[in-house]
Amino acid sequence: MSVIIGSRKDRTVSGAIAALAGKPTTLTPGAAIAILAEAAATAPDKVAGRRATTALAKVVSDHDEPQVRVAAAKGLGQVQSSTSVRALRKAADHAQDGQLVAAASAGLSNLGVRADVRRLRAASDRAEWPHAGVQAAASARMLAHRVGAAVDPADPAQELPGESAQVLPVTARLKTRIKPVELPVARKAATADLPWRSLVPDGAAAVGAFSCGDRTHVVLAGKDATKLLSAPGIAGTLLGVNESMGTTFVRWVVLTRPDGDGLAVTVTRPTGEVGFVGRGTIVDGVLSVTVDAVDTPGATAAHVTVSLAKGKLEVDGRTEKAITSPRRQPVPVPLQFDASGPGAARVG
Amino acid sequence: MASLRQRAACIGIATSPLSVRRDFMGQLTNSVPVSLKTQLDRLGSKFVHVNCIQVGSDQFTFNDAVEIDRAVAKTRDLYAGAGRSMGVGRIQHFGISTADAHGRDVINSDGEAETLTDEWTVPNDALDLFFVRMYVTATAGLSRVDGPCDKNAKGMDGSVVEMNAGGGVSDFATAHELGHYLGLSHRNDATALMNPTIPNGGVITTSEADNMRDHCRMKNPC
Repeated sequence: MSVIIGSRKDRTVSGAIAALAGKPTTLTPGAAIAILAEAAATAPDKVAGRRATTALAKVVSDHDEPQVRVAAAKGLGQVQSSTSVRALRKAADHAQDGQLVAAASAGLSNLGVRADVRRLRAASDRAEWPHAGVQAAASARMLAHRVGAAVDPADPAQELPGESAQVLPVTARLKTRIKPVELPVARKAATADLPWRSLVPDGAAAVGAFSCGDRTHVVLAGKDATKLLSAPGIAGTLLGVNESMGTTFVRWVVLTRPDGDGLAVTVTRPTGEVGFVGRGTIVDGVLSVTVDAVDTPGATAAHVTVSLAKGKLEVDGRTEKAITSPRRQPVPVPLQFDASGPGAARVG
Repeated sequence: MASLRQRAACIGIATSPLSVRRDFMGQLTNSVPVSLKTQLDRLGSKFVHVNCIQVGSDQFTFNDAVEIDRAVAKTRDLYAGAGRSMGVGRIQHFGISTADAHGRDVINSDGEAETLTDEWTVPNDALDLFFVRMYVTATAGLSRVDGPCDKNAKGMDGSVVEMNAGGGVSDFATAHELGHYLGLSHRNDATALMNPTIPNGGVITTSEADNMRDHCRMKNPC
């Protein structure tokens, strides 16, 4: 569940621009950027949409707060327009801030064209901050799948984070069956959230849902799976549901590339971290995919087979009830500041 | 009345050495007024422990620390003022560096919030509350409703809240998202803490409080 910030009066393009300019409103910078991104993404050719896009691009280049610039780059990554693509390319090519490079790269995986694959790989090579390099490389790979560009599995630089991690076998005594369930939202409402809408295959629609432990995944799949045999692509997207808002969000993206007489399948977060790997086949128009969870922090061993024929989804598999790989642990924060005032005397 | 050391031992805090403000009250700064006597009294009701996790901790400033202190103090006040009183017990502070956060200090989808809680946890009996630098969606946080208590179980087992230094919003968001985790759903009444728009009236009814007090994360009174 979630909370909404800001008055109705302020939740407009003008209100958001005012908030980002430091004028008193009821909006946080995050809320303001989200409002601009939504206005720009849903109506990029209208006056309000163009105004919102221009404002976001200006924030990316000029705002005083680095995190607000990063957030604006993430917002721009949702907006399909020449202004947004230009601003993201500029940030990916020239920004000194590694976080901004990472955010711009992720945006270009949504909006970029084939030529941007090379741009992102170059940004990865150039990046000094490790995560920026990793994110740019992952974005290049995601973009390659989105536009059908070549992927070289022998090139470690094109590998996604976790893609070569060990597969987790389902061995525990306590297991849960992975099985189809009713769609938890209306079919038409099962759509990707704005940040990752581009990672949904063209013409995709909700074909069903399945439960895995206490999570329900809504499956969006493209209409024509056979084209996956000829070039890297995206076979489908798995959505989660925000219970209070009734909205859905992209949880996993199913990437494929031709491999022998079938498909190599990699299931990733939209930001590129791998959760599952496996194989797929397309026989007589029936797409069948079998994947296993990989060893990443917080992962649970799972073995699942999904088949899709003429829009009908079949799912079967097993998952352990408890997580298999330990989660990461935050470190205790030492006394960060002189507690009595803003001298910010860092002592740990 | 129970002594400070008895109460500290009850909520699992080392009693020697013991900093009242930092250890017992869980405050990062001296900027937010707190009452030791009030907190000692409140621990006579059911309470929940909370891990405050700063995502992108190296970016957090003194003002952000004050904001977290305010959020904790406000949550304590709202929960104590509920139809049936509750407390917030042990507050401990943790950090995920910007480098380790992999871009999730600025979140732009509910999926990223979910991923954050999937990957990270503090292995103790407290509720994980992740403070991210920005939450760039139509909303300002995310939590399960009636979240789990087994941190080895699958699923989202923490709450995520946007920091908003100086804006006074993250205090309501903190109490609201923890309310979800402890079992509450949205309510349209503008006075209700669980109204989906914040700031709001902050009211927790008796039946809501009963619901929260039954949650498995709630500890028995000291």
